[in-house]
This record gives sequence, structure tokens and C-alpha cells, in this order.
Amino acid sequence: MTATATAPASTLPSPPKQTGYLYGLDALRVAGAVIIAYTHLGQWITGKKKHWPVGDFINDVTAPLHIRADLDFIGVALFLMVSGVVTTKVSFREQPLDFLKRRAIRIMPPLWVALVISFLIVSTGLVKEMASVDAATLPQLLSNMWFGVYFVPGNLILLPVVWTLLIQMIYFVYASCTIPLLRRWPWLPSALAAAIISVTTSLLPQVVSGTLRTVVAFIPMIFIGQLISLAHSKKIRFDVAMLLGAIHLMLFIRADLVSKGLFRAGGGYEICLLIMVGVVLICMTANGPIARSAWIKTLSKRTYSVYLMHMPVSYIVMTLLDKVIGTSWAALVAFVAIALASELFYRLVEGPLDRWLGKRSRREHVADTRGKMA
Amino acid sequence: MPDQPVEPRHGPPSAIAVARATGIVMVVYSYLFGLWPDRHGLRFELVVEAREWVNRPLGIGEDFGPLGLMLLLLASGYAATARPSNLLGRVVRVYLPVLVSAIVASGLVALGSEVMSNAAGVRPSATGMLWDVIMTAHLVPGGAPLLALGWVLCVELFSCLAGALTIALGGHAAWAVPLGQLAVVGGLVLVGEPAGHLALIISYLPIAVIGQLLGSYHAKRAPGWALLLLGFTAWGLIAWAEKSFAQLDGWWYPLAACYAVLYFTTTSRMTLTTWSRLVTGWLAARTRWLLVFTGTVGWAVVDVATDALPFLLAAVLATAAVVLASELGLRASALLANRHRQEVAA
Repeated sequence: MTATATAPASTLPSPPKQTGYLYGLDALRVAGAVIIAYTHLGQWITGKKKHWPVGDFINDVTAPLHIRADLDFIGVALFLMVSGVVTTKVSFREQPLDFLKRRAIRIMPPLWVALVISFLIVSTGLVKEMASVDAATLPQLLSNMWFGVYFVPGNLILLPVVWTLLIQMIYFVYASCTIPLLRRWPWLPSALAAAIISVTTSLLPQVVSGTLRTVVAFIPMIFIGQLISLAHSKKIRFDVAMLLGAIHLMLFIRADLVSKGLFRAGGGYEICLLIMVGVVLICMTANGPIARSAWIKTLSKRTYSVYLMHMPVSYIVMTLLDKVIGTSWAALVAFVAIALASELFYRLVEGPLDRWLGKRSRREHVADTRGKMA
Repeated sequence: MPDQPVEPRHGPPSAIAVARATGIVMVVYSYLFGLWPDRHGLRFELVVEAREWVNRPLGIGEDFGPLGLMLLLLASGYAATARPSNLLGRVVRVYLPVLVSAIVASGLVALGSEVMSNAAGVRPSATGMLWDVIMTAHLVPGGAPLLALGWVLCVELFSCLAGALTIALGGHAAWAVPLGQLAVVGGLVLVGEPAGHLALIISYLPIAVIGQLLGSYHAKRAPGWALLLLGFTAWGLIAWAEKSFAQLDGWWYPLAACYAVLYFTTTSRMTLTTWSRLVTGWLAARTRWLLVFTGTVGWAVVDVATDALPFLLAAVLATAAVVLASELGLRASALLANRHRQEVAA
């Protein structure tokens, strides 16, 4: 089945005609970042057996959906799926190595800075809910910087959100290797991945809840994003995308059913994922005033900064202020602190990196054009 | 997403057809392949595996049955308000299957066959059949309906009338009529646990209202934010009913409603292949007949066939019988409609 042979018989809606830019994805990214920050803040509060009106209200409203408390996992599902959608689009215009380099440059340097900041905060001993003080050593920091913490027994995690970046990086490596396949047979990389995930899940001992098992359990979400992107851009038929998407969903369900110690108690992971698949499908093509607003555009650029900064910043604020001004006010201050820290992080780290990448890309483009003309 | 109307809107027929086709397949599977073996102490491995791997993890209860019914009601609510149509014709299309299947069910029970009646040991009587025919068997406390799924068409009929009222009144009716229905539902939930099947009707009417709201949004009859607000209110009422009525506790209807709305909204934005359009269109045209005959003809055929055949074959045979009966019902009703038109023209 080739790209040309798979004329879309039934397809998702086409992108806006003017630019093809999916404004809805920006809105989804912002929603994902806010939800993840809220979830971790909520978990800090419930971890202390405390309550706050906002959290109680949201938990009461969402209880009939039987999703996880504090909107847990919703942000992760959104982020991973949106990542699959976006990177699949660019993988059709970037060379494999360039694709991988760009993703690595966008992810790794900000992660290193965030880990250094986390290292400093953890070493104060004020954020035990995030990481043990023992994790604040130079060898542990270096291990965290290269995801070694997830592979070397006994190593301690400095920044708990990093596991999703590891999954993304593994996906990017796979995606870059399969770009030639993707361009010729767009359905093949996700089908091949499903087979690899299935075999890996079968071969790994069920009691093992190590990193590899975590990766194969959660990586199907990015492939669902890839399939959404391929169906949307009419590279594969909608029914083919739905079939492969269902297989990846089943692999996710299987991982939950056969794994021990990998998924937290309480269930609801599959429900969150299925609801979020619907939300992404509906919202990704949103093109209204909210999705196109300058606010969403600005905030969407800062989502990675929020992702990296929210936990150390909010946890230290909560530790320092909870007993002084009460949980609700402390949570409010924590949100403001997250916003300020993320803005600072974006301006000092992510923004300059983005600009450097942009300049580099333009230089390469010019060099390419000259080369072709010569 | 009322404030994000980005894509060209496809006509309602494809959206309605997909929802109805999916919904009715779920209903037939749920009642013939899922419920029948449960009620008769059989273990059907295919269904058991599906429950283990799909239904339980995703929170879709009763073998997709409620989700299927919600899709049907969502589609009917949408159809009622998306564009004007002949009300009398629509009412006849909803009511005729009820009338015919009530007679068929009475006949089957009189012959000693089993039908999917919720009340055990139901015996046909002139009064009992009359309750079914006037669609009140599920509303009367202590009523013993022969048509176990007749209440679904009762909700659909009500939704059709509400949709027609919305279109006829125009203006603010796009939000006022749904609001009125939701107020009635809210009032009934407030009163307390109802007897009989009224709890089901109270719980499912809001989903038909959400369909009406989606139809009004499609026809641009009211601002998106108002319809969205009413949609959330409708969902809230489903959740409230679940919490308030002990007989609905544990069925997870709010989650099924969420899935139904997401599915309907997603599929309403896609175009279909000729082949898919044919299949969904064929199923959609027969939905109401398939619905009423599943619990009557289908149930009776499985009951008889399992004496001679393995359950899977019996259930497949029953499905074929339901399809055949539905085809006959549809063709007969089309014939009657044609004759009526000719008489009117003459």
C-alpha cells in the first residue's frame, strides 16, 4: 500500500486551506501543560491528606467519568499524542538524521538546565515529595542527564516527569530510522512498531516493571498520534488508521492488564486515553478565535518550559507556604510561580535555542539552494 | 467545539447514518450475544474475552448496549433539529415498529416463545399489549412491558416532537425547548427514585437533548456557547440521575454518554466511502425495526435454536432472522406509505 495508492476514501477533515497550520494543536498543548501542572500540584496536596476547593470541585465533576483523580494521566496522554501528530508532519520534509538532531536539540539542552535547577532545589531538602536529597549528587545528576537513571539500578530520579521524554526520544529514534518506510508505505512504521511492542511485552517477564516495560506500555500513545496525523493528511485511509489505532490501544490495555507495578492503582488509564483520542480528533482542527488567539500562540511556545519547571517550582512553593497561608492560597501562588519560572526559563533557555535552530535552518536552506543552483 | 467551526460541515445524513449503524450493531451484539447467554447461564467465550479486554478497561458496560442506545438517541435528536422534515412521517416511522412488534411479541409469547421482557413470567393480555402499543408500559408503575426496548422509541418520539417544536417556533426555541426538557428531567430526578423503567427514560432523555443541541448548532440556530452550556447541563443531569437512583448505580452511563458524544462529533466530521455509505445507510434505514425485533424475534429464535445448535450459530441465525423481519417491516411500511401517497394524490 503506497502513499499514492491509498487515496483517502474516508478521511478526517482537511487542514485549514490558508496555511495548513493546525491551531487546535497549540490549544491542546496549552491544555496539556496546564493539566499536568494541576495534576502534580493536586497530587502534592492529596499526598498530604489535604483538600482544596478547586481540586475537590474538579474531582467531583469528573468522578462520573471514572478517570483518575486530579486529572492524572490526561496531560501525559495529550502531550504524547500531540507529539506524535506534530512530529509525523515534519518527518515528511526532514531528512532522518536532521529530524533526530532537531528533536534532540529541542529536548535535551533545556532538560539539562531543568535538571541542574532541580538538583539545586532537591539539595535544599525541601521537595522530598519530588526527589530524595540523596539524588542531589553530581553522579546522579549526570546519570539523570542521559536517562541513565532509568537503566542503572540504584540510581535516583531528580525530576520525575522525565520518563515521558525518554519515551519520546525512543520514539524519535525509531521514527527517524523509519522515515524512508513512512514516506513509501505510511502505515508500515506503526504496524511494525505494534509487532515489536507486542513481542517485547510477551517476552519480558510479567513481574518486571523496568524501563523497557514502561516504554513499550506507553509508546503506543505516540503511535496513535502518528496515525491521527497520517489520516488527517490523507496519507492513509481512515479505516486503516482506525484499525492500527485500535491495535495500539489494545496494546496499551494489554500492558495494563499484564503488568505489575507499572500502572498505579485506581485504574482509569484506558478511559483517559480513549477520551483524549476523541478530544484530539475533534480539537486538532479547531480554527476559531480561541485557537488562533495570540494568547494560545504565546502559551503554546512555553509548554515545554512549563513541563520542565512546574514540579520543582510548585513543590518548593507549596512546602514553604502551605502552613503559612493555607493550601488554597499556596496553590494559587504556586501557579503564579510556575508561570513566572516558565517564562524566565523560556526567555533564557528555550527561546534562544529556538532562535538558534531557526537561524541554522535558514543557513542550511540557503546553502542547499546555492548548491542546487551551482 | 462551537467556537471552532473550522471544517466545511458535511450534511447530517452521513453523521446520522454512522451513529445509527454503529449503535444498532452494538445493541444487537449486546442483547443477543451478551445478555441472552447471561440470562440463561451460558458462558460465551467471545463475549467474555471482549469484556475482559475491551469493556472493563474502557468502562463500557453491558456489552456496548447503553452506548449503542445512546448513539441512536443522539442521532435521532440531531436529525430532529438539524433540518426540517415531515413530522407526521417521522412519527409514523418511529411508532409503526412499536405497534407491529407489540403484536409480534404478543403472538410469540402466546405461542410459548420467550421474548426479552424485563418482567419475568410476562403473559400477553389485551391490557398489557395496549400499554405497549400506547407506549406507556414503561411509565406505569408495575407495568409489564412485552417490548423491553420500547422505551427507547418512546424517548425518540418525544425527542422528535421536541425537535419539531424547536424548528416550528424558531428564535430562542433552539435553547428554550432543550432547557425545558432538561428542567423536566431535573425535576424528576429531584422528586426521587421512580418506579419501573422511568429511571432509564430520565437518564437517556438528556442524551437525545444533546443530539438536538448538536442539530441546532449545525443549523446555526443559537450561539455555540449557549448550546455548549446546555450540553454540559444535560451531561450533568445524567451524572446526577446515576447518583440519585439506586437502580442506575454502577452502570457508568455518564461515561457512555461522553463516549457517544465524542464518537458522534468525530464521525460527523468525516466523509465516507461509497461502500461505507451503502452499509451504514442500509443499517440506518432499518434501525428502529432492528431495535424492536432484537428483543422479540431475535430473542425467540435464539431460544428455539439453541436446543439444536451451538449458541454462536443460534445467535447468528437469530441475527439473520432479525434482519429479515426488519427488512419485511421496512418494505411493508414503504408499501403502505406509497399507497397512502397515491390515495392522497388521487
